[in-house]
Amino acid sequence: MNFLQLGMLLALPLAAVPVIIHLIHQQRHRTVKWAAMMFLLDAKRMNHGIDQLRQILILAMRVLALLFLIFAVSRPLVSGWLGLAMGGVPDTTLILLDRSASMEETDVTSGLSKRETAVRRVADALEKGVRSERIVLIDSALLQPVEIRHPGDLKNLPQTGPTATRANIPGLVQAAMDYAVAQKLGNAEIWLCSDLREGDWQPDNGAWESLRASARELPNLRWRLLTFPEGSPDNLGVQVEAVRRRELPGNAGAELLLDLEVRRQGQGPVGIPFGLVVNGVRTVSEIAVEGDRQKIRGLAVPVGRDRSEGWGMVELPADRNAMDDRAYFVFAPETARRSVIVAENENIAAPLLAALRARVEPGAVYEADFVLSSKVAEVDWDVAMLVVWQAPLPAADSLEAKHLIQFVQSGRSVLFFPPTGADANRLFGIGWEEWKAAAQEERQVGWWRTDADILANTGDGKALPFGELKVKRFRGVAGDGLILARSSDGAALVMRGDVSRGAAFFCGLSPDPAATSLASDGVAFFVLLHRLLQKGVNAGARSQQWEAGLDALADGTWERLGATEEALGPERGLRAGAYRSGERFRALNRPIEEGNPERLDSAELAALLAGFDYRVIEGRAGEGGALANEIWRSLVILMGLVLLAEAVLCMPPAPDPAKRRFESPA
Amino acid sequence: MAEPSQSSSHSFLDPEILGRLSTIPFDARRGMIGSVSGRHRSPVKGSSLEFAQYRKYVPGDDLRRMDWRAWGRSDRYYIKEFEADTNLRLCLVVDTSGSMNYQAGSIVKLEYARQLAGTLGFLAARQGDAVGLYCAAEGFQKEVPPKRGGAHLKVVLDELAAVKAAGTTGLVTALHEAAEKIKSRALVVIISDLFVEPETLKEAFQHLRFRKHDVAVFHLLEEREIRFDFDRPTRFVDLEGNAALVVDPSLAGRRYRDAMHRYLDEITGIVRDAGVDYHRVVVEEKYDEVLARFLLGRHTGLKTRR
Repeated sequence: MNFLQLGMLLALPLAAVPVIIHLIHQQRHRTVKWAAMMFLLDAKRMNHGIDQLRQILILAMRVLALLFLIFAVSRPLVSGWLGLAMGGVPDTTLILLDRSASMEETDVTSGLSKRETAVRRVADALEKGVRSERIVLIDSALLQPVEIRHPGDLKNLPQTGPTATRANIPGLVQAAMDYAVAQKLGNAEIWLCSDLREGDWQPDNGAWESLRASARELPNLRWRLLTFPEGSPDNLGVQVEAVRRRELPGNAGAELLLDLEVRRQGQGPVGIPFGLVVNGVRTVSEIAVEGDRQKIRGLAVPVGRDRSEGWGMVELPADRNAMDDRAYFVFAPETARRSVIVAENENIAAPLLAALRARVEPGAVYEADFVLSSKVAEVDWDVAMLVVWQAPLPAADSLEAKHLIQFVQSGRSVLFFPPTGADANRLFGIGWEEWKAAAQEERQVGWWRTDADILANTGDGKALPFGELKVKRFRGVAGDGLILARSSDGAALVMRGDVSRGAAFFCGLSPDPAATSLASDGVAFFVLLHRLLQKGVNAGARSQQWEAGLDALADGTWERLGATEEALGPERGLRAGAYRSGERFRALNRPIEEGNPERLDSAELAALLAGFDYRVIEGRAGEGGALANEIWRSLVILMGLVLLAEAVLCMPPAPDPAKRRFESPA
Repeated sequence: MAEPSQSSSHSFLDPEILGRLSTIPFDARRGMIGSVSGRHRSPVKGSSLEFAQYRKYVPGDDLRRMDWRAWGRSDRYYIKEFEADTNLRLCLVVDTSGSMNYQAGSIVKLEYARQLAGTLGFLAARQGDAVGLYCAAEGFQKEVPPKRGGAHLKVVLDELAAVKAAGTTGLVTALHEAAEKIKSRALVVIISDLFVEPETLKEAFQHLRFRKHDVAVFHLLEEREIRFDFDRPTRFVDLEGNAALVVDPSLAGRRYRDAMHRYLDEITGIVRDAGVDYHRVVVEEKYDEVLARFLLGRHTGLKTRR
């Protein structure tokens, strides 16, 4: 609790005035010499307890009324949740801001998004009341602590602006803890503003375990969660999953084939108008959507024969979240989709080569090279779009390790399979456990992530037959990455380690037929490889469909296509848009996971934050109330109530029938 | 009978009121046993003109009282008896406890009691009755046995004028002692605020009645004592001690009035049971009106009984 007129609290002793007056009054009673004392003593004796209680209550009411008056005049500020104030003013206030695209859901009345509302409320709270010596902002897009001089600056900082990114909340929490440890914060309050999207919070992320452990070791951090769990029932979202350019037979020109995904809240068929812009030319059409998620494959958009490259975007009617109403795409002549398989022997590499050379998309060229693990130096890292590594992990300081890390940092992927021999090295913080023979049951894959990532369900919602795999032996995956699949006894089978834009995937199931049926039951295997290859294509092709992110435009001089620049510096890569740098085209969009409307409920949140000293304040987009509200009106009302109670207590009793006129019986 | 002295010490007597009240006879409700002839009935048959009854002759009776006409008619001897008239012994018991110092409006209760007692004494003496005075406060403070005559009346009035109210009440003890000390039947007039336990008062009244005394009570109260209409917290100091009590009338008033009315109801029951001539007097009322009502009530009551 804080006070705008702190000096008025000096008047607090005035609350004792009623007691003092009462005591003085007791000494200044009119004195009457009285004969009928026996009746007075009787009355006093009978009334003693009630009389005293009533007097005490009356005095208490008067004291309370004065207290409320003084407090009201001193204009106290309390947070939306009164208990927040009990911890006193912190030395440092950290603001962790979820800048994911979903935070752009906007209140129609006020025009404020959840992100803007969060920033305003926190800024107002800090400005009006709970001011600490140091205010630090860490946003989910940059993950860099920024010290704020004045809370009001929060509203205008680029670090609090909108982005088309996905938030990494575990990373954000880790950044706050790292800062707290590095700065040796004694008494800190951390405001985490988020809409609780599961995609952002990543409840399956293995980092939460260590975060919970860290939270127990940092009991001086008080976490305040300003959440915006409210969904938007009529929201529509669109994403471009893939773009292909196809020459039409004869002189018919060329066309673009778009793979789109439209998400909406609600069921039943509905026609949704959408706009399509290709190289600045806009057309309007309508798509039929059934259910809450509609995949549109191969939406043909005619382009001129001479239009071999360019950009475009798909637009849906405006709704509460403008960020997901628009998706950009770029197109350019395709280069070969080259994969490199580094394996211990050719037998293991054979099914991999077969799968990666298979032509999936018409017109695309698929190439795959096999390199023995002993000849890694032959790998052409620049042209490869996917590296499959079935060999012992290189030492962290080796040249191979550096090549692999740079490869992943460029946005492409590496898929690691377990080596046949012992391997104690770790890369990307992940390593292999020992080989483990499967028990009697051959089906060892107990769980895998079906909503997103490389093991996600197919476009028609069917799960990959990953659980059908027959497993004779496998190697568990150990590390801090995101677990994508587990064995039936709980061991991590597939794990993802994120590095910059790319990712390293570790799969504990070997394609060796002696270990698993991964190669022979090839559906899951095939899908897995081509999804990863597609990631590499996105990162390495001339036309790239990228997720917006900090380093999305860091690898060249990129020029915005079709619009003026909205941001400068590192913020550029955080916005959706189409860009060009020389021969390369790049479309930046929000991540696919941002389309997932699932949110954490309070139980899931409590499980995730077990060990954190946290409080939740639920907010709504556009909500005007500051986190710290002036409560003098409430105090005045309370004062009125107390005075009313005092008046009731002071009221003379009902007319006394015994007070009748005296009459002599004589 | 000479007029009483109108010196400043007897200022509680008002000649005009005395003159007015003298026209009303001061009667006893019951037969009195006096020392001389008077205007009051006596339980002993006497020689007044008022016929009482016939009684059979027994040897030794005065033959002058034989009714010869009755003998002529019935051939039997009857003695004709007449009422005996005797004088009244008026014993004034004045409560002089500290509570009688209560200032009731413009007058102190004791002063009011003086006016009542003095006037009654004068009226009794004027018609030849004996007057005595007992002042009750923690035992008898003053005691003047009843006697006839102007000189004795002066003594009574002087004592009455000199008496002061102080100490705790000794009314009940005084009444018991008076019941024992007053040998023959008398009219005992008690003037008091009666702020004692009703139960003890009941015993005292019964004691007096057992001794065949005609008992009359002037119960002095002030309207405020009954209504307790104080409007703000007040410190009440006991007139019979130094105890003080701060009372908020808004809190304790109702219970006070309940207690007072319960007490008055009890007193009413007691005096009714004991056959006491009870007069509740609000001291704001003029004492001559109270006395006039008292005298007339006794006189008319007596005539009715006759």
